[in-house]
Amino acid sequence: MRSFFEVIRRLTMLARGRRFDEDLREEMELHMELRRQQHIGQGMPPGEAKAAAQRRFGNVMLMREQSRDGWGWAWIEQSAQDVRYGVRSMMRNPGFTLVAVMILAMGAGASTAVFSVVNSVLLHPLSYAEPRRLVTLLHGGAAPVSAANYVDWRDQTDAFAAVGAAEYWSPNLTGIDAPENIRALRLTQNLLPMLGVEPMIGRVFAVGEDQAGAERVAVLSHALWRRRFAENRGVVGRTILLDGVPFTVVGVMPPDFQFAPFWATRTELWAPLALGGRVWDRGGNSLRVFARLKPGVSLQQARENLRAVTARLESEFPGSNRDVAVTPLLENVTGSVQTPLLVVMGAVALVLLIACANVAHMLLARAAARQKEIAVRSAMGAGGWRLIRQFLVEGFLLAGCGAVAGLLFAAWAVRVLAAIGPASIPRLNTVAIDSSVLLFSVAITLLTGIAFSLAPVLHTRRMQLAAALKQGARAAGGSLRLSQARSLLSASEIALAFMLLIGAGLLLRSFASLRAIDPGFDPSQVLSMVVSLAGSQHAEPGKREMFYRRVVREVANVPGIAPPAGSTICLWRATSGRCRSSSRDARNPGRASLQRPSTGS
Amino acid sequence: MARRDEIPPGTLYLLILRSLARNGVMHGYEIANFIQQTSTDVLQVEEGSLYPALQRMLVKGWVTASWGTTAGNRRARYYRLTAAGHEQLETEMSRYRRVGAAIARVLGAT
Repeated sequence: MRSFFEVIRRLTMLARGRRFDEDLREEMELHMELRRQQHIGQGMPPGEAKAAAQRRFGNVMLMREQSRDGWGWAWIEQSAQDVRYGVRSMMRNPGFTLVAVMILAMGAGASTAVFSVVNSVLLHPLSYAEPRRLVTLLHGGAAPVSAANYVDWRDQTDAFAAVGAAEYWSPNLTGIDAPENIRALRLTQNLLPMLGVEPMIGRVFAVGEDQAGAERVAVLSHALWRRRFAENRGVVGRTILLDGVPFTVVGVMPPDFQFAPFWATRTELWAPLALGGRVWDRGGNSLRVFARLKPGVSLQQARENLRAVTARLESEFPGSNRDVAVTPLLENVTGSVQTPLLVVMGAVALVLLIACANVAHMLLARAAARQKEIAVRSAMGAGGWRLIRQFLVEGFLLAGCGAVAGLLFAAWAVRVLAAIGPASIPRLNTVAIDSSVLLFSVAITLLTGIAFSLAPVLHTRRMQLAAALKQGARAAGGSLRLSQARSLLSASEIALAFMLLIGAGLLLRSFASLRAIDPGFDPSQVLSMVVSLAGSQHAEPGKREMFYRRVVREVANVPGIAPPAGSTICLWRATSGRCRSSSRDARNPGRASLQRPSTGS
Repeated sequence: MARRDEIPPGTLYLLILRSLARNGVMHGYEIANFIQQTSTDVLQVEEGSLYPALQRMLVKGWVTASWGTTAGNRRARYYRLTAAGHEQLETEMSRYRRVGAAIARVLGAT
């Protein structure tokens, strides 16, 4: 309790600040004045009396400093001095400061940007309730599942609290100004509740809405709501047309909600999946199955449970239930990007290290030039710790400036990444500079500040004061130790840079060989576009061909375009490397792809 | 002029505490004078060092300070013992007596 009041007293003194000094001065002046009057009263001449009073009092400045020190705030004052001095010395060498800050900004900016990606992709990849309890049930851990299998797994397993399925869908959104082909998923009713995410507006699907005939409702993503509905909260209850069929909007999901996280990652709309007669279909594998483990059930138990069920089904329907894997959702999401991201993180850490070594090198060179200044300061009574602190403060100032510049760079880089980044990186659109990224940046600042202040600090500690004073007259450069330290730094910089160079070279090579894959035709100067007629008045077989002929004709009239060609199948898809089969298009009349406008054929 | 000795280290707090306990409320100059006079000018305090000591005592909460006016109508800071200060005086007194008696015993041993 006593110490608590002591802290309060110290704080009030700190708050009084200047006032405290004035009080102290007044009190001491009174003391000396009274003493002087006493001396005069004893018959001393006035001049002598004053000197005697001062002699008896002692060193006024020292007493004042000691009085202040008693309150334990000396370090604040001294730090302020160090910072002032540090800023002055930075301003004295604007070129040096600018270069050092720029080097640090690059290092800190690159690591902060990559860390912000790692942070949201690897550390917080799933914005669902208890994401570690979520699993996928897929063939070979990746391939889709038939409707009949989904139903059997759902009904015959007991390790899961819920088993839901999703199917990709890309409907044409019409009924609002411009028609658009959007990415969507059809979900079983239990899927959104299973994820444990509340909609931002409205509701998710009610029980029974995934029955045939009741499925005409839709939930929008925040992005779609913003892009097409101007964030109008009145959108709930409104009717939109998907492939020409009216759907009622019932809810909007929050901005950071993404589903599915590892496939169809840019989905903007969800509608109920009515399996209808497909519950008997064991052939058409088009569903991704998600499940949540029951409380207390381990992944291993769930695997055994499902293995028993699939073994039974496999013996009943041979070939239908091979190699079914229960995979944690997290693994599905981050598995493919984890290693590359960590490699990139390692690379930027190397860049940061090089930046530090570089700045340390510069500071060391300057420390050599500052030997005389340091010697003078320590001769005037600056303690070893005080000198070291000066270097640290200067280091932190540089690191701080570098970090601020780096943060600006990172904020820009993150925006660029989110815009151009590959769809295979989950939640890239949610990457942002948040509090943990800021914390990371602060940690980097402290670490780099210490790291590159270390060199001049160690150097100072070894410095022979007298020798330095003598030596200081001649130009910087100097001692053997100093040049050794600098060689060491140079060597490590080169080594690090070499590692990076090799790493970057290897990456570039794999990229180049990826690009060198021959697609079997000359893709240069060739554009492709996909047109979907689903749900439109042109969808009927007779009208469809007329429509496409018109498209081909009119595209040919666009200046700078050679006569285009149409095709109902995709020739080559850069994103997946797979072709959509023509049979699929045959199953979905009204859909066709216009691909590969060729120059001749 | 009487011969003057520096006060033994660590006893400055004790002297200040004792002066305040005896006289109630004093400002710095009065404390310095009181110590000097009651020691019949033997103990000499470097007078300025009272002030850092008083500040440290304020931090510890042994004394409180308030501004008042002197007989000569000048503004002065007056110090007063707190309950904690009285306690501290007791502690320091008994320690001083214990140490003093021990030293006396050592010196008296033949």
